[in-house]
Amino acid sequence: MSNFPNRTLFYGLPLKGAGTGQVESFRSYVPRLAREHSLTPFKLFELLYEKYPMGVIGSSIRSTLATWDVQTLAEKGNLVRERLEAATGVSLDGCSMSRFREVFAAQKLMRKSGWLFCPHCISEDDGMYSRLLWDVQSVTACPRHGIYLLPIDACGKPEQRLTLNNRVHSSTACSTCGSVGYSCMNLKTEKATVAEIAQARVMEELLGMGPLTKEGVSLETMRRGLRELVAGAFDNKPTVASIECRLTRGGFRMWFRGSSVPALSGLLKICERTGADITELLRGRYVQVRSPSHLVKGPNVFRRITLDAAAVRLQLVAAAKSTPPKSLTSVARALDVDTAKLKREFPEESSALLKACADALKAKQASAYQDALNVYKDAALRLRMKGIRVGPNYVQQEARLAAFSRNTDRQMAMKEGMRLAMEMPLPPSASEAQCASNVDPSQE
Amino acid sequence: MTTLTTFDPTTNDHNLNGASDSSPAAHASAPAPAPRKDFAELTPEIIEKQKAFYETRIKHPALKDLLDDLLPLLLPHSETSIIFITGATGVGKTTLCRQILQTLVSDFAPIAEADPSSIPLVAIEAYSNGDGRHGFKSIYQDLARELMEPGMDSKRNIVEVEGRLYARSGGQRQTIPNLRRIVEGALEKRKTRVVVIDEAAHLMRFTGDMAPMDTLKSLANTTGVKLIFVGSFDMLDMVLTHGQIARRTSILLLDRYHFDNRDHRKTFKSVLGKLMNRWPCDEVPDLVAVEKHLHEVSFGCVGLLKSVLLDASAYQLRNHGRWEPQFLVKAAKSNKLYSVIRSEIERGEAKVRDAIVGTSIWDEDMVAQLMKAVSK
Repeated sequence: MSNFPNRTLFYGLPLKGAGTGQVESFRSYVPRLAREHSLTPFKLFELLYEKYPMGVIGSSIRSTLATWDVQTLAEKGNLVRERLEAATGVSLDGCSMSRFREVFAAQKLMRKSGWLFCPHCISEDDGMYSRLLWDVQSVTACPRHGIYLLPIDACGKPEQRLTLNNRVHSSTACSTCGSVGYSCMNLKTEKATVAEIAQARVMEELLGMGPLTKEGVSLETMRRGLRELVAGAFDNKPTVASIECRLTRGGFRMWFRGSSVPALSGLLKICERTGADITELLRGRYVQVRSPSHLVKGPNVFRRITLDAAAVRLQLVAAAKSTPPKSLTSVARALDVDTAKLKREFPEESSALLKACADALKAKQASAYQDALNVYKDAALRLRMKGIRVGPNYVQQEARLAAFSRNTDRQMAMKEGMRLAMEMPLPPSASEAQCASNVDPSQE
Repeated sequence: MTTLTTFDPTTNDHNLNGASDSSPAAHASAPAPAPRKDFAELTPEIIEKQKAFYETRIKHPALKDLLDDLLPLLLPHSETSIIFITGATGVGKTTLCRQILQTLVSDFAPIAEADPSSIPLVAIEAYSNGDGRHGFKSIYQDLARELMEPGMDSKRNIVEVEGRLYARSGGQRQTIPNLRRIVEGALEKRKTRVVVIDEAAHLMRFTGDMAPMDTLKSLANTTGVKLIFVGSFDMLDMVLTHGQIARRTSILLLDRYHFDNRDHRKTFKSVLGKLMNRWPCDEVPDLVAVEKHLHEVSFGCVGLLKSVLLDASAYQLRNHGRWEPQFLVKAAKSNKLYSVIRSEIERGEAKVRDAIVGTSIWDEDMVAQLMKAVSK
């Protein structure tokens, strides 16, 4: 027994970027803490809930690790954070959005899959970590480097795929090949629009705030700030403000009157359009921190397309013909218009582009199916030649390719690959070893 | 021959007549063996009395000096990373170890209070489990337990090689390298400053292709902790044969009481007085009267003295609390055992004589010159 009583369950690993807009996310902190203890995040949660019981929430560890819902506004996030703080002795107030639960609505707040990262930020840091900023749904760009955030699920070295047993749950390494900082990916960075960068900067300012009670922030102060902003920037005309900020008039009025809680995405848009400091807005004041020259008129659903219609058509056709076809969203973004506008004004070209995208997706899925089929077939054949039973577990292990139950295409590819391999004749040398080989009924 | 009398702790009088109704002259001749008599039953009361006497700890007066030498060596940025505290068998090393721990716990209390995740001090005992091959395994397991390492049965060996992060196959097995990696990480993350290993001589029993001291030296180097080994003279063989280790090592000696030293003799007498005050029977033998002989039989080691007196008091308790002089004779070590212990102590003290902290290659003249130079 330790000579010092009341020691924490885990090491007191400090939260990276604490107190800044680049604060580390829960999704990053927990795997990092688990790695320091040579544990899986799953085991870490198990040990945490064993010491600090969580009732029914404690049984949903897998769902927590898949969606990281603990970093949203949900009460569950608060409970888990409190327990982890007790278990580490470190303040983790900044690593989730739960501290904003009094002032924002929970809708469309955090990503629950399709995680993004900034390749520059992640390689700049000595000790890599993933930012909470990257997990906010409204943020698509890096405020520091002005580029679009990139998806983490495009492994560039599938041939170096790790087996399931060897994989490490980390927010800063490729889950497929384990490349640290996603160095396996050869993704080209793309410059983000000024509006998106501005929105990301506003979010960064917001995340840099301290505890809301210390900052004097409440729902009431936020509404007061909103009223001041409408008065100062839009001559006290909420309708103009809602149109200018591309928000629904009804929704905006409800926020304004105080009959509903605003969504974070809406507040970010308002601050981005007006150049308002979001932290001051939450404190009940309207302070413009960005000069109007930095403001760029964003896409406006109410204005007519000023571009040449023929040029737009050409772009849509070219996008459909490119390989792989560009998405309608990316074309709309390049033209600074809304996708709905394109569909309405150029229905034929838009439909053709959407169809090309759908076809390309189907072709990609078919190719993935065929690749998986070949890999599983070869693996099953190798097992037969070695005289090892051909069963799903052995085949996946031999192929170094997992077929999760939710991935029906790959499951089908594996079954088909095993069937084909069993039907194929073996070379005579391998026939002796094959004597013992047959399909393991227990694994079926 | 010295007589064995009784002592009244309430009056501090040495009752020469004693309750045993025996004159000095009667004791001068060897007492005839008493006829076999009924032993007192081993009641809970007797056991409790004996236990209280057994648990009596006499604070070693040399402790303060030893702590004065030890504490500066524990500063984080000193080159000394391994400290040996040694002494003769039964001199009170384990008691000393407890006292060191108490001192260090209070020293480190502010650090531990400021950071609830830190464990600045860890203490284990290097027990010999008979399996030399896995000796270090048990050391690492004990360290991990003391460091409160969670999930020891589910550890994974996660490595980063050539820019790729993955879990090594078989990483869950508690091999010695895996355990060492876990302990190193824990010592660093728990901000451990000092590791105390009691009965460190057992480390010598650990065999294998690695020298125990090399392993421990690199553990101290990689984690920056100070290792304190407490044990008998045997463990010094580990350090006195390795120059690399000697460079980072300091040796502190817990000396026994020498009868020719007046201060030692005085202290030994006071130790006897304390033991008499806590004697488990109402009839207390006058130990002070035979201090020279008790010193001789215990080599001036309080632990040995206590074990002799413990046995003598056990005889007295079973004799319905009546003291008889031959109890002490019976409790004293036999000639053979006596000579074994004596030769071990002499050999050990010869080994450590010029190696302890405070002894240097400079003679008195040189020291005088140094003092003069420094004062200028």
